[in-house]
Amino acid sequence: MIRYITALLAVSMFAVGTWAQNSPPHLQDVSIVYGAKNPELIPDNIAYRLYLFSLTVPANASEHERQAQAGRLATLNLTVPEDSQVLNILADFRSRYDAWIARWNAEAQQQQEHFDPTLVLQVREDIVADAQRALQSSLTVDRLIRFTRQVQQEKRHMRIITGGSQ
Amino acid sequence: MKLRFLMTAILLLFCGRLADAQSCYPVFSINYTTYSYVTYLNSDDNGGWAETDVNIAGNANMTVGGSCPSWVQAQIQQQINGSTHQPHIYNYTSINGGHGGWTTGPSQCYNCYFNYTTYNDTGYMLDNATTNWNFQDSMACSMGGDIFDTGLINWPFEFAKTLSQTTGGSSGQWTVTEDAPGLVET
Repeated sequence: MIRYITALLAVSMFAVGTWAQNSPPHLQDVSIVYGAKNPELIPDNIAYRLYLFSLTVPANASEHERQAQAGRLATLNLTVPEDSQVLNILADFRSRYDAWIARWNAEAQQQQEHFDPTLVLQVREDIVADAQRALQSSLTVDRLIRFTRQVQQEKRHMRIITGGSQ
Repeated sequence: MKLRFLMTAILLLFCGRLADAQSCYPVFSINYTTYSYVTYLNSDDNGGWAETDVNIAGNANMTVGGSCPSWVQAQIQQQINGSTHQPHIYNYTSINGGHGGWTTGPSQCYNCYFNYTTYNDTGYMLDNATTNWNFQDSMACSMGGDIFDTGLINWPFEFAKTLSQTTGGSSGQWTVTEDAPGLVET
């Protein structure tokens, strides 16, 4: 009888152990788009977001960071008034983007599995679109064309990783 | 007695199969970007300084997939909620004896949004001296290991000055001027 009960216990433990498969999740369908090979597969909104962010510095930027920013902006060949306007647009973009990330992370940590990023992601797209609109109204046509061309060229250095497990 | 053990063994196999068909497991979804760029910093008559930057941005999510009792699902979800993600970036230029290497970003919650950049100064580069820039991005999960890895990418570049030639007006003489120095992908 004792043997029988032991065997039944073993059965139940085995079943429970199999239910709760705690093995590491395997990523089966990860896809990496390499902009160097397929720049046309990097969407404009992503390219603008990454490029705009690369032109920014944090609010408390060091001298070195500002020098690097000037180096990045030099490729756009802006006039002095344009440069000043673009710096303001970039500062606004960075400030809103950093606040957006802080909001995302606060909500994700608080809500855990109930966190729905759909609406939050739309805000990110709005921040990028607002910066694009501000640039359009601040730059001359020539400079805007140069800026747009630069974004397209930068796609070669971007990669998009998507996918997941099943 | 033998019959009882035989029945137990069959039951054991059956339950195992049944549970296997109803197992639960973490399910991933990921959405990241990586961006690598060279920034020109400064120059003198013979060369200059540059900076190589690598950024990783985006987020992942994990849910419980499959079918199993709710208490088992809750247990797995609890493990997911306790897990963290952490970015790793390799950013290395070969010139001047080599600069940079691996950097590990902050460890954050599994569904947090990451925006992590590494900055690496190349040191002084003579004009027309080519450096190999190697970089790689990956994101590690405390629960599932590496979520993705871009692999090592090589991007050689050099510091170069370009010259412009313009006519000197009615005399027809040519004037050669030195443009602003720039970085050229080789």
